[in-house]
Amino acid sequence: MSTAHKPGKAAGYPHCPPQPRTHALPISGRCSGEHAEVCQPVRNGNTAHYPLVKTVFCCYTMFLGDKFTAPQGQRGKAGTWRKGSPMTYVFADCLLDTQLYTLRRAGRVLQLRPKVFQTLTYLLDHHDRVVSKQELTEKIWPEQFISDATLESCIKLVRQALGDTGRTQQFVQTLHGHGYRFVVPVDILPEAQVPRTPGVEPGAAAASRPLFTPAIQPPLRKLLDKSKTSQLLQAFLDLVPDLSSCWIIEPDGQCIAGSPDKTSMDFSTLFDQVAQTHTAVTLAPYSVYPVLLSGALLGAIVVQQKRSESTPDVLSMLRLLSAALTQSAVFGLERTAILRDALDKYREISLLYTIAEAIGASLSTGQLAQLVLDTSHKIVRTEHGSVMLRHPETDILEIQAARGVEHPRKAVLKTGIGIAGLVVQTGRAEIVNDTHSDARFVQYTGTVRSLLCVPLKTNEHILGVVNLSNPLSGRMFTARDEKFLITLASQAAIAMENACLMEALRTQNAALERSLQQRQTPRQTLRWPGFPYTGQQRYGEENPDSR
Amino acid sequence: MEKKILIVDDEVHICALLSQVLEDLTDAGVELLVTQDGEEGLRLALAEKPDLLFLDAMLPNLNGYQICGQLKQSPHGEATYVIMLTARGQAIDRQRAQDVQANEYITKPFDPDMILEKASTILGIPR
Repeated sequence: MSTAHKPGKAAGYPHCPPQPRTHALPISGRCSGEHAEVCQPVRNGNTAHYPLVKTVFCCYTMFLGDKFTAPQGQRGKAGTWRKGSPMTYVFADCLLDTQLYTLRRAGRVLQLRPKVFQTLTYLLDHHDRVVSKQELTEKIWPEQFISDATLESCIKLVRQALGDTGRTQQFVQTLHGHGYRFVVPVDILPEAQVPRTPGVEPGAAAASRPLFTPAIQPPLRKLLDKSKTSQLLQAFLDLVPDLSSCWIIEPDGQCIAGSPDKTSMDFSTLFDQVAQTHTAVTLAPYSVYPVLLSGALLGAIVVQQKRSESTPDVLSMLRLLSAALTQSAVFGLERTAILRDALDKYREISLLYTIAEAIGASLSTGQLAQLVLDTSHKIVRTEHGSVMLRHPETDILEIQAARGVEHPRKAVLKTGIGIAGLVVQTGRAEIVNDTHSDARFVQYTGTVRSLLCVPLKTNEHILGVVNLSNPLSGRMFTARDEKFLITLASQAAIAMENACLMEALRTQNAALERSLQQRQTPRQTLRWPGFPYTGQQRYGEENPDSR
Repeated sequence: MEKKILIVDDEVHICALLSQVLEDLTDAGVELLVTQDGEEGLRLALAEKPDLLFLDAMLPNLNGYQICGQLKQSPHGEATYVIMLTARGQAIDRQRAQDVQANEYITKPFDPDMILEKASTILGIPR
C-alpha cells in the first residue's frame, strides 16, 4: 500500500495548504543561482516563498541550511565552503555539476529531469547516512502529496542514470524500513574560492581545478615532474632576462627545484608573509610568488632579480609560471590518484589469484577461512572479521576463523538469526553501516558500527558467511568492498566445498579402516586351547603351528 | 649515499604501478629509475649501479636473462640485488633465472605490499 507524505503535517503545520509551484525556504542567505533576478522571496513568518522559481535547485543551497556548510566525507580543506556556491560531486566514473545541472558519466553528458537531479544531489550530499523516504519527499517535493510509487520511480531513474539497478544497488542502496543510502565514496568540491591574488586568475583557477581533492594532499615535489620542472625553470629564466635565479620552495622552506641550481638559502620569513596574504612579496633582490591550488598554498616561486626593483613584466611572468606549476600539480594529483586506484585494482587481482591457487592446494576449511580474512583485510582494510560455516545438522554458524572484535564471539548465531544468519538464509550480501539502528543485528560486542556480510555459496549450497566489521571509529563499508568480498567469497566457497568433501571423505575413509580393522582383529587372535585352527584359517587348511 | 632502484619493464602500466608502490621509499632518499627498453636497462644498470633491480624477462632488444647475466659478470654487478619479475612461472624459467644469478624470481601478478616490504628490507630502510 502506498503512503502519501505530507510535509506540512510533519513539520507541524497541519493546515498548511499544498503549494506545488512554490517552495518554502528558510530565510537565510540569498538565491545566488542563475534565477537570482527572478527569485525574489515572499516572506511569511519564518519562511519565504519563491513563487517564480521554476526549479528549486537554484535555491537548493539555502534549504540545505547548516548541512551545506561542511558535509561529512568532504575531502580536503574544510571550512572553504561558501553558501550559495555551485558544487561538483565526483564519484565512481561520474561527475555531477550543480552549476551546469549535468551528470557526466564515463565521459558522456546526461541531462536529468529536475526531480531526478535533485534527488541524486540530495543523496550525494547526505551520503554519510541513510536518508528516509519521508525526508526525501519533504525536501524534493515540499508541500506536495506524493506516493511511494512516485518516489520509487524517481529512485529508479536515478539508478538508471548511474547505470545502476534495484537488484545490484551499486550506487543507491535501499534499506527496507529505513530509506535510501548512496554507498559509493563521494568527493564534494565547492567552486574554488579564488583568492584575489596576482597568482591565480579566477578563470585559471577553475581550469586547473582537480577532478577531486584527496584526503591528504601530497607535497608539491611529488606532484611535479623533476626533469620537466627544471626545464621549465630554465626556459623561464631564458624568457625573463631580468632574473638571475629561480627556485621552487615548499611550505617547510625546502627548495625542490631550481635554475641554474637548487639553493639552501632560508626563505622562511618571506614565505610566511606569502602564506598569510597569498600574494607576491618582494624584498630586493628577491621576489616570492605563491603557487596555489584551490586556495591551498602548495609552495612558492622565489626569484632573484638583477635589478633592485621588480618590474610589472617580472610579476606578470611570475603569474604565468605560477599558473603553469599549478596546472602541473593538478596533473600530478590526478595521475597519483589514478595510479593509486589502478594499484588497488592490481592488489585485488593479485589476491584473487592467490585464492585461485589455494583452490587447487587442498587446504583445510580453517586454513581457507584464515586466508579469506587475511586477503580481505588487505583490500577492505578492516581489522575485524570472521568466517562462519553452517553446521548441516544443527544449523548453528560455527566460527572457522576470526580476528579483532569478532574473536571471541559470545552470541551463537543460527541460520535466520542475526544479519549473518539472514545472509546465510537468503544468500544475499548485506551492508549495514549503522548496526545500532538495525533490529536484526545481534549484539555480541558494543563496538561494532558497520557490518559487511557476504554468503559463502556455490551453485548448489550456501556453506556459510564471511563477516567484516568496523568499530565505532571505523569507516563505513562501500559497494566496492561488497563487490570485492563477493568475488573473494565465491572463489573461497568452491575451495571450501572441496575441502569439506575432502574432509568428509577422509573421515569416512578412517571410519572404514577402523571398521575393517575391527573385523580383522578377532580373526588374527581367535584361538581356542586344544583347537587346531585359528580364526584366520579356512576349514581344510593346515595349521602351521601343528607342523 | 642515495640508494637507487631501477625498474626495467616493457609494460608501461607495470612501470607506473611499481613506481607508485615504491614511491614511499623516495621520502627516505631512494631514487627511482625507470626504462622500458632492454638495452637502455643494461646501460642504466651498469652506469648507475642500482642497489635493487626489478627486471622483466621479456624485453625488447635485450631480454631480462641477458641483462642479468651481463650485469652479474660486470665488476660491480654482484652488489645489485636482482628481482626477476615476470608472468612466466614455469620451472624452466626459474632455472634460467637461477643460471644467470638472479637473486629472486617473482611471478606476476605481484602483491604490491610484498614488493614494498621486500624493497625496504633489501635497501635497509625501516618502515
